[in-house]
Amino acid sequence: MHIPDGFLSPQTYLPAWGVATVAWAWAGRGLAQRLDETLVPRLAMLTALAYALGLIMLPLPGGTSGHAIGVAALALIFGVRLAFLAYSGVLLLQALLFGAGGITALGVNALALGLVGGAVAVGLRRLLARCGDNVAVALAAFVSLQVSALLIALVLGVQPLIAHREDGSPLFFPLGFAVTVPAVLLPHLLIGIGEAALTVLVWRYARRKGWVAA
Amino acid sequence: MKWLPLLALFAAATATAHEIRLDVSGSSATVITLHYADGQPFAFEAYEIYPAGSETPGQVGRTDGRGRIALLADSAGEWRLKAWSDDGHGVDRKLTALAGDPAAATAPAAETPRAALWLGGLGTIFGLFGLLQLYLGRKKR
Repeated sequence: MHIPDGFLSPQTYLPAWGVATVAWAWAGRGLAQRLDETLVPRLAMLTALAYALGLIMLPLPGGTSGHAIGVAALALIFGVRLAFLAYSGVLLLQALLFGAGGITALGVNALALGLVGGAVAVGLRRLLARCGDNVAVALAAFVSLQVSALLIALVLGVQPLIAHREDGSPLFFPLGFAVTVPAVLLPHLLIGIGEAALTVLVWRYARRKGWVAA
Repeated sequence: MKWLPLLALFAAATATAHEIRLDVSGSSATVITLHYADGQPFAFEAYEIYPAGSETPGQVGRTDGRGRIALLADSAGEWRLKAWSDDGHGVDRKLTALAGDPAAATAPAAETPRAALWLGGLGTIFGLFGLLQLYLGRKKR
């Protein structure tokens, strides 16, 4: 669900880069105190998992492809700040090495997937804590992916409205909300089930290893 | 009344202007194939091709079932291909084309095998975190 280069107008990606820069600074604050020699290898492992997941494309009904992202697992285990930083690095690598997502779109992708996705996962798990650990984690992962997907769909869908030629023809991504919202969300309902299952597995592993508090 | 046949003849002549005719001829084209990283074709998706230096597309359409586009470049230079699916997958890439020489068209493609890039990315992640670990270890001492 990463947005590639060339699909977003400067009116979109420049402010997004600005907001993301502030968010990266916020996430980086206090990082030195938070990181220790036991945390770094764990974070490295789950960051690598998120990177790998993003490159394993699964064919979906309708002729499209999708992949899990692993942000919920990162956020639930390490918190929103670390998850956002780690996933931003993943997005950067995927854009530089594979052209999956773009450099201009990095701000939007990082905010939608890393920051909002991570925050929704953490917030929802807390809200649903009474439902039991597995259910709370699964729902948190599922919903966080849908929220991120919805944001991506909205950002794509707004492009024809904010960036077009005098004759009204779009300059960047040409399809509106009526197309992008169902086209992005529907496949992610399916991907979300996989993301939820994977997040529960990683979460349970992390709990067993004592990486997260009970 | 004697003008009626002449009028009919004139009307028939102008009517042919609305007729679409089909000419079939053999030609060579540059074939661009779009596919997802797993090899699945980017099939039946919309695309636009902009001739070198133009902001108006010279060719629009949809990829075929195998994700292919046939381009008959009639001017040399950097052509631009935009292709997208409803869910936001797609490309916006430059293609270097030579007029009348479809085999000479190139796109700046990644030459490195995907597996090598994949491992390179993993190596970068573990390398950076390794450096961080070293830094934290030294700081502690």
